[in-house]
Amino acid sequence: MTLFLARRAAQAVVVMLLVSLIVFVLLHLLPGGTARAVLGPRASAAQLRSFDHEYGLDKPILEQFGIWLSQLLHGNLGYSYKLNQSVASLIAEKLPKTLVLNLLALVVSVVVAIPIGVGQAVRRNSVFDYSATFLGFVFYSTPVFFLSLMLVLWFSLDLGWFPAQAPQASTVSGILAEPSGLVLPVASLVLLQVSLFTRYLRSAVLDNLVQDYVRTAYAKGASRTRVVYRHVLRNSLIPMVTILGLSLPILLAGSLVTEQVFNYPGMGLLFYQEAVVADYPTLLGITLVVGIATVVGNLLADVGYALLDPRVRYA
Amino acid sequence: MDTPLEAGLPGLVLAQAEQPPLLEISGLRTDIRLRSSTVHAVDGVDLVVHPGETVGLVGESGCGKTMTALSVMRLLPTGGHVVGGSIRLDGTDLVGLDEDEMRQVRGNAVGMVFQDPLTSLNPTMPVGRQIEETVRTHRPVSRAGARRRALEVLDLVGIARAASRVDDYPHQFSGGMRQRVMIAMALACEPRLLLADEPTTALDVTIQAQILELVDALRRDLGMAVVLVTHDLGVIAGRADRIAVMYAGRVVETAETTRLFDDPRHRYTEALLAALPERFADTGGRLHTIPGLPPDLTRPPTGCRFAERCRFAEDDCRATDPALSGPPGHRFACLHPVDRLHHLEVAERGPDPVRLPAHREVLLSVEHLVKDFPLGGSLFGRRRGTVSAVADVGFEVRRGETLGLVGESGCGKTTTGRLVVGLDPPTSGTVRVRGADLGSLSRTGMRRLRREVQFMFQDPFSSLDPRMRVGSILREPLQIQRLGSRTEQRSRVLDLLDTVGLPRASVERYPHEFSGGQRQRIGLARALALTPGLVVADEPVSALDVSIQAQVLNTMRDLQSELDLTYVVISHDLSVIRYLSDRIGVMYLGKLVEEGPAEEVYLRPRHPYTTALIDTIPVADPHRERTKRRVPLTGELPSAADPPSGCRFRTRCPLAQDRCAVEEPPLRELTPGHRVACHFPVPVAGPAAV
Repeated sequence: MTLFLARRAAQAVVVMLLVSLIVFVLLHLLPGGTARAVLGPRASAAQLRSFDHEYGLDKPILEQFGIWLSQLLHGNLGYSYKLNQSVASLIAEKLPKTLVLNLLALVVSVVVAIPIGVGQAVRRNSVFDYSATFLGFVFYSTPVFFLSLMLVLWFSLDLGWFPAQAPQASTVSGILAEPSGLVLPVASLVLLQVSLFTRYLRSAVLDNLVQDYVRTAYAKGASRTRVVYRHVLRNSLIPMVTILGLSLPILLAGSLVTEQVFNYPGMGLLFYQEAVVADYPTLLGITLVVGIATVVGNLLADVGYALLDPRVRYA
Repeated sequence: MDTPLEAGLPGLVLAQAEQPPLLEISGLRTDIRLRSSTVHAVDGVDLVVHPGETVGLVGESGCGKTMTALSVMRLLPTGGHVVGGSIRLDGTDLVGLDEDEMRQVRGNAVGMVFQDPLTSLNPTMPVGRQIEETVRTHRPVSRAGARRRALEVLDLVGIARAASRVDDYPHQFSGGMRQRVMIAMALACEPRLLLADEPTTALDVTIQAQILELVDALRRDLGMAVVLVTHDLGVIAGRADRIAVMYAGRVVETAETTRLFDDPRHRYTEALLAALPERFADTGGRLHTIPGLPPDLTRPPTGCRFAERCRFAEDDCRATDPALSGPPGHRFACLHPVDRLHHLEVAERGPDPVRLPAHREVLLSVEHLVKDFPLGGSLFGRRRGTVSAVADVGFEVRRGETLGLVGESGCGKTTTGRLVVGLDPPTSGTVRVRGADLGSLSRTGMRRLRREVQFMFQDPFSSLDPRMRVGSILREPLQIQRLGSRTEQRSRVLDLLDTVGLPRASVERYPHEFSGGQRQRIGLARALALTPGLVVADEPVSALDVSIQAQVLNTMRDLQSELDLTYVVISHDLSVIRYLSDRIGVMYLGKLVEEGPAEEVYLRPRHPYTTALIDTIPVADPHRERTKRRVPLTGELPSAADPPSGCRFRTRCPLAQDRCAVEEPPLRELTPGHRVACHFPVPVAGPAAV
């Protein structure tokens, strides 16, 4: 198991290096170069040159990558000239908020999806199965902004149950202090994810229900509930782990649309706002974080696999 | 094998006819509803099992034997229901029980062991927990108590150091050990009846013998009754007290074991026994076949269900449905049963295939063949050593001859076959076909060689492209080799279909429209498309039922003499090998341990492994099975990643001495043409006397 993890971690480090290289190259592909992006279209050639010299942008490209990488390891993700703040501090401020919103949504989605997906598989082709499938497709195919706006329209404007805007507090605890403001943003995310998760879980459970070991469990005299929840569920969750691992980048990057609709002060909103004003250092900083999160998510999926499936653990 | 007897358990219970039956199935009918039709899988089965006896339920695939067993447990597949009859267990009709009452029966009064121990255990749960589950479902015991019981039964089924293995997962056990775990699970609550559904079909012969012996010993010690469901007449001959033969959803004949084999009365039983290759193994004569296929059970025929395929059927057979009749000890459902005047021996069997004298040029010569497979090894992973699949194997095959390679799974016989036809490159060593070295051939040379050497695959279900019509499948080799015009290729395809005995209309059909035996004929036709000199057939009949197997074996023999073919036949089934082969090579863990003329090797085996193998393989002859030494081989095949030093067989060899661990025995000729790799060969008067 330790060996397995060490090997996977080593692979992850290599991939992360590649990710950082790609982001670095993107940084250099900025239209007109960094100097032009910062100083604006009216800057003179001399100004651009002195800017390049000041920030070491006239050095050989490999040396620049080395410097950039060592800065990166020291937590320096660049500087947002638009917001006059370091990218690292920007991310440090927004990331926890996004994490709270998306983690909440993910947990709720899994908790809701498991009974629905299992129920659909066990009662295959029943009215329940068909209606869950139908609703799942409806929610999955509806554009998120539309779904979010409908939620606001019904539950906020018409019924007045929940506020239309997310909590605006500057700290995580401040956000959590207003749970009613979180309901609609979380719900918009959950509706989408539940449809996806139930679909996967339903097919995984269906695959497992016809396995020989299920017949063996029945042959022992085990009840259906026991067979489904003790034997089938664990084996069916193995493929789910991949999807959960792959959803880590979303946890960190945030949902652009949801955060924008509910004006939630997270990574998604930051990305949206900075994209509009072409704040490249911030955008690339976020890209890097998301890239690394993808790699880590894959690593976590592997670990989850090993935890759930002993065959992988001892391989 | 000694199994510790648990204190307080009933001792030996003798099967006695006057005792009330433990299980009494009468008129059982089970339907499986499909989308647009209903399969009448079990259609009026009567079966009686007395306490303590072993009843064999035998028949070919689709005859309803497994469905009968599953009906008892009410574990039928989706759409399956018992629609009639009764299943009385100790007087209680199981058919009338509700689901909760039924759960009290499963795993408690009746235990069941399934065919494939690999898939029948939950892969993500330690074996101990899986056994505890049975105990906790039926006994009011604590967790610790259930665990104690799990350890007890694991010990009972012969898992060494049970306490240290109880938390292991199924994949950490070998196939045979997994089946022991399955048995432990079924026995944990001391059931009075054990249903064993093909319990050894997925296992190797030496392991099969150990498992059958274990089931037998437990039956005696625990006083259970066993219903042994199998297609293997050899397995049933040695183990069952009584046998019920099933055909098309019915029991057609039932009798005490020796009586059934000595004096079969139903025409189907007779035909089934006559189709076994061991019947003509010594003469190589033509096998009896059962023409046609079993009836479609969605629309069962009126009258006797076997009439369509019976050589003795008359008009009344197709009109009246024969019921089981005859004396209580031997009942059969046949209007014109076997008698002295009318039996298969006098019936038309067709001419025996001519065996051509084979002392001609050497067609295939294999020298010092080695194949290692790397273990692990990826971009970042360390290579964890090699699996030695084939280790220094050498043999020659002459034109028109058949060499049979026999051995248990993992012995390297299939790898050898793949190397011979050039599907894989050898690690070292040479394969020469007509003197040309396969390793030194260019791409074009290799393509030309493919005409000469063809491979016939094991699984007729997965080795044919499901989206290609049979015509295209058979034409493809001709197209690749650019042989002939389109019209010539078409007519060649039709010829091929004639050759293997398939209708010409088959060209337009897809593989799934054919039965297993027909598909294996397609495979043979594909192999023959380029008129090769050498055909390597890997387990050509192992996926087929006995009656179909006989058809394919006959076809292979006919074509050999007709087309002057040379065969290398690979099989785990010694009777098939013996029937087809002129020479036999026995492999063990990558080594050729014995090679020689077929009858010589079979009747006078010199290597202890060959001796054990011949002893172990069940023969469909209860008299011989009963006098056999039980379980001649203990233990399991060692890992090929770390083969034993010296002689690779020494860890399981009863004759092994110190020298065997140090010095590897070379293959040496003991008598002309008979080579053996053993320091201490078995003296000539071998155990097998036919």
